[in-house]
Amino acid sequence: MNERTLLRDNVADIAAYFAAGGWRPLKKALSMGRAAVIAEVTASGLRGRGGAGFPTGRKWSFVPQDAQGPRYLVCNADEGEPGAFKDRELLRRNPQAVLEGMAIAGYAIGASLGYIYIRGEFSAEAEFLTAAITAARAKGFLGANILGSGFDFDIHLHRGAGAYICGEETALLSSIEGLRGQPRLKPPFPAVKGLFGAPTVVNNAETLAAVPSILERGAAWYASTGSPDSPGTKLFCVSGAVNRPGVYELPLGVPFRELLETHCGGMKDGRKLKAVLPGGASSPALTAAEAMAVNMDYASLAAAGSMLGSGAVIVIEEGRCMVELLGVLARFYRHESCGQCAPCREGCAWADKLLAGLEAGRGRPSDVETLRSCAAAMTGRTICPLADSLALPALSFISKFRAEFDAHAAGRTCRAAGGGRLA
Amino acid sequence: MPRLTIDGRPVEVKEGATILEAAGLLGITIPRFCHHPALPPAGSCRMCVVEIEGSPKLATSCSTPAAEGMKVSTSSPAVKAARRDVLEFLLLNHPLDCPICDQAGECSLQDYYMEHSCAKSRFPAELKEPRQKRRLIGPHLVLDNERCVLCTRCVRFCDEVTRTSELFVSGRSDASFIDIREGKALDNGYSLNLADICPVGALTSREFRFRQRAWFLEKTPVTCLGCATGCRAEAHHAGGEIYRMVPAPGAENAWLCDRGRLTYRPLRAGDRLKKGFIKNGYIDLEPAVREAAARLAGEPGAAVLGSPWLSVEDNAALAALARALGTGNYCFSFTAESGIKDGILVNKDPAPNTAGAAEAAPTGGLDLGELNRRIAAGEIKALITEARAAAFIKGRLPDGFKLIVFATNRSEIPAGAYATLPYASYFETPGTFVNYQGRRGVTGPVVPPPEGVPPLAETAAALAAALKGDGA
Amino acid sequence: MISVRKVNNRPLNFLERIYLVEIARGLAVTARHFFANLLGRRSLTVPYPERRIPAAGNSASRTRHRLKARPDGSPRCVACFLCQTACPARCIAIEAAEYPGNPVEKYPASFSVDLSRCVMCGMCVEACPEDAIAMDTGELPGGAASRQELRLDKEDLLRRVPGETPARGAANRLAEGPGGER
Repeated sequence: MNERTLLRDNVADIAAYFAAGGWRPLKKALSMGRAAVIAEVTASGLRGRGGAGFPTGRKWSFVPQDAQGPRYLVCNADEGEPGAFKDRELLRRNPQAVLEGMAIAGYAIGASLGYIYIRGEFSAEAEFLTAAITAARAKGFLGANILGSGFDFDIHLHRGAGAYICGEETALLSSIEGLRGQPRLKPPFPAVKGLFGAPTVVNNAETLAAVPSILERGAAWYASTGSPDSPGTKLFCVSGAVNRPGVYELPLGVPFRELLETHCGGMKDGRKLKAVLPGGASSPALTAAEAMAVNMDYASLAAAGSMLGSGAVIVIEEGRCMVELLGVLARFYRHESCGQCAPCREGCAWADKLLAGLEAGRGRPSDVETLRSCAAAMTGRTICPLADSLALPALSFISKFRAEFDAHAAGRTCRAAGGGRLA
Repeated sequence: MPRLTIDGRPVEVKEGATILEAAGLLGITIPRFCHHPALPPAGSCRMCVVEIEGSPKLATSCSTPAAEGMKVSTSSPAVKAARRDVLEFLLLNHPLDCPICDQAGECSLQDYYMEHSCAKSRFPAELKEPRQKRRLIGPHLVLDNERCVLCTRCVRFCDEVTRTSELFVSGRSDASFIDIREGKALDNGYSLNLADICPVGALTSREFRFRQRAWFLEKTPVTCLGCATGCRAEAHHAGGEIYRMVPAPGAENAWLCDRGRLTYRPLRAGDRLKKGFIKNGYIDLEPAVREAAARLAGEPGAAVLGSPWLSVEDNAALAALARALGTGNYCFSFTAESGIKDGILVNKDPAPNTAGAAEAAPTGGLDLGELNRRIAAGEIKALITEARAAAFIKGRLPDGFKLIVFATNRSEIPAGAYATLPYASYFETPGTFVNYQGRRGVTGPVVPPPEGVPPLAETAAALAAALKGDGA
Repeated sequence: MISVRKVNNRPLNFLERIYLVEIARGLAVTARHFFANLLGRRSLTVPYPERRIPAAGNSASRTRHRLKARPDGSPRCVACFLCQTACPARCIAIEAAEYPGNPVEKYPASFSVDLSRCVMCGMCVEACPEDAIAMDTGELPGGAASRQELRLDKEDLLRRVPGETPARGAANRLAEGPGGER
């Protein structure tokens, strides 16, 4: 059933949200007790929607029961991945669900303060969110002694400053602390030692927005939706040469073919599908044939050699140069690398230079192999997965579209004289 | 006490020890750039990665605690490939500076490349990113951003050891570079340790710059005589000249303060005394000794003042001189407040041998107050001591007072000194020193003294002999 | 069967026994050469060291050292000390100094080669990373009247030979700038 729990219509306003049943799940949670809430979310099988897909309930259970001092709940709304715009849509259309999810999560882990780390460029959404928080406070759903339960929880909105790396949870925490936004060594994990040294849980906005419906309808219901290893619905944001790009909330496990043809209306202007990045700019590419055979959930995409990631689906049509596209990715990741570890810092820059050379027809025949080995040398070798985010797509592009790379290395460019890069 | 296996060899370590430390106990040195035993871990260079059985990814041994039952390999093909790759990445933009870089011969990049890589470069030299070179930061250091591998040891040192935070990483990605905070200067009194800990030639010592190549240097353990802490150090020298001092490997003190590190400088300074100095003229040592002996014998109430800057042996020689003079006007006891005053190494007592000097005259003699009183009252008209100890004489010297000092450099000679005798420093002759904790040890010799400059004890003995010869 | 050769071992006659004829014949050879040299005919030897025979242009032999110069006249040498280290006879002595403004930073304040110790092995040329020292002057070292003359210092060593094309060394690219010599 294509029931939407996240992108519901007309619930942006708090009165409408409340009228539609909103903020009752929080009340229910407050009466269940913390352990029961965690158990419920764990049983539902909800997995993190930010990209890693880690079981949410389990993450909450990592916070030590007997830890002294404050705990923090952080909502990661730093949607920085190229191709991802699903959280923005969620924050516009259903912010109250995010706030309610935060409150429930905060209650579960014993936090009394939550942070929303919102991407700096989302200035309009930040304003909107601020208003939503104020409204929730006014109604007594946030603040001290919520609904008379004795539970205090308030939310502080923190705007980012334009670094993609601050979407990584430990870099995000460093950024909130006012330090240089670069990832920290793990262990210790944030659940044990996070924001300001206190136990902290960082969840994606979409993950938190799914929590109220789980409390409302029960873990069993949630687990029965979607697919066995990936229950629930997911926000898929589709971009590329399709007739109806946009954000779609669909059960996990929906076949890609259905997503493309039924919901997005198929390829635009009769173009042919060439490749798909199913999980945003950090996911390995699938050829058209592979994509048409795959279902959009964690297991199926992993089995196909790619990943669901954040659900940002980038559709690539025939005629699009894969070398140029990889160059766009490389330039992005080079710019956004924090620079801490040698493989990422030097590898992203090297890949960018190699691809710039290849695109412009200045490449040498050995450059393709050099690029491939550079990407392989970056994989799995770094503090955070940013290096993998460039390396894995690069390896997949080179392996599946080798001919294009070799053609460029032989001096033939796709564009007219001068080569060049997409703006 | 977790027990684990590294390269097939078992080892037991303390709780919380890292794999890198555990390997060190087995004599396995894992290559690394960002790790330093005295600094918090960064885990960013990725050079120290090892393979842990059961783990899909390579782990950084500097930041992974050793766990019971772990099976670690430091030499598997995956680990070797990872090291080659890290070296390739670091060498991409590294400038071809080896011929002019002072770090040559003791550079981690050079050494690890020869041991773990030797791969040909795949990156054209024209595409190497140019950065700022030869930046003079602080009074002692030169920073070269092109050579830097961003291991951040320097940043962590300034943050954690001196807590002065002058350095930081500026910029992001491959445009990152080490910079100094606006309005700050890198002169926290320990800045030369950065030249030691920088694994490449990005931070180098201005003092050492271009003067010698590392592979020509011989290393001799010494004790720093800059204060009562008596840090263990190592003097690096070649051809009879000392070029630098570093903390002794394995010493309790992981660092040296800048002032102590440069205590070898006066040895070859332009004003090094090779002859005696009387009034304003140089005179040969032998006539200087005769003149000094004549003054001590001639003036009534000659006195001998020991020095906490002199070794136990040289103080004993001065005590023997006092006996030869047959005088009770001697003082070898100095009181000084001791203890670390800056939380790191520098001692409140600026003299290295306050405890040791007292050994020369455990009983008898005057204290400083009485000595000063007798000088002021005119009962003492001549005094022999070491140049820095002359500062213990308070107030103006009375007219006609004959102050005879032993000094190594002309700049040391106190105002009003009548005669100065040169002596070999403790880099040039051995000396026993007792630090503020009572730890005693012999330091020196490292290099030969200038021609014709004897150890102080020898000159003191010559003075004593000259006095006996006079029939005093 | 051993082959046998009969040797005519006749005794010397009177003239041969007194040897004067042989002496005269030998003296005649000497006198012939003497007068030929004296009267200016080309001889095999030259009065060395005032005149020296240059080595053939394509000779690969190692001859007197020189320090190569950059276009602006400064030595290519950056005082890396590799030649001093490599020299098996310990005949090179260098003191380094710093250029305050020049991007190359390091140069030899003094550079001396002691030809009386040098074994002409060429290790210095092989070791140099900047192609700064060469043994291609074609001049044979030695033949000096004093030991001082055999100690070549920087001024003696720094020169060009016609038609040289130096290779680019690592640090010298900074002096030469992007795109070649400046």
